[in-house]
Amino acid sequence: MNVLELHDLTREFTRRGKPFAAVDHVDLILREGEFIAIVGRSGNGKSTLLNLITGLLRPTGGSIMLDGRDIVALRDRQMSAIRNRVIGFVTQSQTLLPNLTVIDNVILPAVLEPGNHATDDDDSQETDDDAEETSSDQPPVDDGLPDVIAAAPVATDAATRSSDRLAGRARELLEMLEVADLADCYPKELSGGEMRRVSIARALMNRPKLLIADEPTGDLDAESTAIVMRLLRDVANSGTAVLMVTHDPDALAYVDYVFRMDRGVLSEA
Amino acid sequence: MSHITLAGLPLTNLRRKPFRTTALVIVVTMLTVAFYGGSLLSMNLEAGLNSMQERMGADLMVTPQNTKNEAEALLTNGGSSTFYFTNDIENEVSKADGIDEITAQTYISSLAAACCDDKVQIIGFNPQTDFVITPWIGSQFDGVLEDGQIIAGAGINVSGNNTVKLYGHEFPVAAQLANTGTSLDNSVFVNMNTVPDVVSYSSKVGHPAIPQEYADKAVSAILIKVKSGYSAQQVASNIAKATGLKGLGYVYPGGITATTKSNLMVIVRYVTIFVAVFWLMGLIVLLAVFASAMNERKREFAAYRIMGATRSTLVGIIIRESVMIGALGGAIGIALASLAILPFSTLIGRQLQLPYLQSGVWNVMLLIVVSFAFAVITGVIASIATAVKLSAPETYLTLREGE
Repeated sequence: MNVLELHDLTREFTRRGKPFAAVDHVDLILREGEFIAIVGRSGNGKSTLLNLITGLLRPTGGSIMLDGRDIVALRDRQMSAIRNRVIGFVTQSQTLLPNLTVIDNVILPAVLEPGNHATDDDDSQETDDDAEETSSDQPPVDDGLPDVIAAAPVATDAATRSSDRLAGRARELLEMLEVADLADCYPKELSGGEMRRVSIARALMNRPKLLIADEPTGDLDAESTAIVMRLLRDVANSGTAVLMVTHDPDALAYVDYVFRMDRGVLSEA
Repeated sequence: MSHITLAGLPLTNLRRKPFRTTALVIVVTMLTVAFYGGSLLSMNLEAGLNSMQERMGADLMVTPQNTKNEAEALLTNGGSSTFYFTNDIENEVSKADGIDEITAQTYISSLAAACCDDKVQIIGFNPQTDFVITPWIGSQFDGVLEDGQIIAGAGINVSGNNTVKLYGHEFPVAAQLANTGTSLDNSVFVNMNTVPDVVSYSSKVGHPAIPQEYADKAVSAILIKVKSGYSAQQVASNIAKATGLKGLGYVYPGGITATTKSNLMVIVRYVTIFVAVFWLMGLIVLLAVFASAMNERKREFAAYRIMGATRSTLVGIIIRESVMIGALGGAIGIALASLAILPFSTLIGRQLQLPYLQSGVWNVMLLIVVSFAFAVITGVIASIATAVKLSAPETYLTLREGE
């Protein structure tokens, strides 16, 4: 199944009064379980392409089909829900929240979207997948609902269990990335590589269908790079589509296909 | 161990930035102190003025030569004094044309007494002719003021056996009056028959208030209600002609009220301007601090968006942070200003030399609610522009600005 389809995707910016295409008529299909890398020089539109796919930027032209839905026309609330449930995004720059501990940073995506059940039962991946299947068949967002912050959950047993499940899922991810011992630290106490690994854990928290990673090994040494890339490969093997931008030749060994981006134009490498 | 929730995020953000949070809370506290404190003072002054207006039953007050200022001070909040005529002035004055009602009062300033912080103003009045004090006293005391008894103002400490000791003599208290915010609160009222006794007691302790020979007839002021169609000034002129006395003091209580009101309005105007300017400055400071903080936090807010927060969720987080800051600063400001003002209304009134009456509980409660809302709204106003800017549709561009 196609998780991502880009057709004739274009985004123009204006520089010194003249328009230029940072992403120029790009076509791309990414299926479940595929792992694609995009390489290319800095400033050639790779990060812009990723931000278009996540809905953080609006395209000037073309279409983006994500999980079977055209996301270009979606309203903010619907796009935000998709970003929360369908996409995991590891940004190029460090975006961990300085006021939260590592584990709370990882948990945060699961509490941002009210009614997010993607991590309700981490004992059974199968159950989760079923739930996601069901949810993806229905509109992810009810436009009739008020677009407000959810009320603080009442401290019931159910809420506690839910909190425990989220914490369990977050710890599991941190262990996979070998940073579980840093769970109660704050981001300022971490090295660049550690922060990057925590960012990846956060991106995986809601079991996304599409994981986007913008230079995920940029700050990492060889050993950490191997850990991260093995993890991303495992993620792809479990059915998640992975789209990675990288400058790291070592990382390319883990991917299925490599594309090159040059002056906004995407082509197979 | 409990973990992060969306509802708990704003509080976590504030707690993790104690310096920034404290600075913002202090600014809101200062604004609230200025707003609440200024408004409370203005309200109390206005209440004092209204109270004074209600007590000014006379249109004209005739006093001895060179005692006009003392008489005016006595009517407002300027302290006690003793002055008196040595002739039968009431009879002389009553011959003048244009007088509807006339009554005499005698003012004696006691020595500092155990009952009070300051000297007590003893006011002798004639219940048969009085039209100034009796209606007011009558609303709170329906008995007859016997010879030798006193009615105490609100500021007089009445002893356990219901007496007040003045000039070494314990006067039985017939009633105690409600607070007026004027110098009357520090006064005791006796009927004219008791005045010679007061003079006698003062002589016994070696401080005669009035020479003994005038004790029976000493009158400090003649209070007049003018007939319809006459002005107080006209009647004053008639009195001067009828008595042939030059240099009498004429006090126009209505004029005093107007002057006091004018003075009070100047103060209220200054307070209003001060609060407005202070608020504007505070708002600018808050805007600057919020804008600066938000600039620092661009990357943080972009991260929320990346994780799937809607624009309204983001605005909600920012607004809730500012509401918490406003609420905390407002509560502290109201508490501080209340502590500084509410227990010291007598002292404030004395310092201002203006009628000053503590407003009622419900008015103060209402002001507290309004001030609290003011503090919260100020916090929200300061943050809302930044919140909207940060929740711009194209989050990627915001993130790039933060890089």
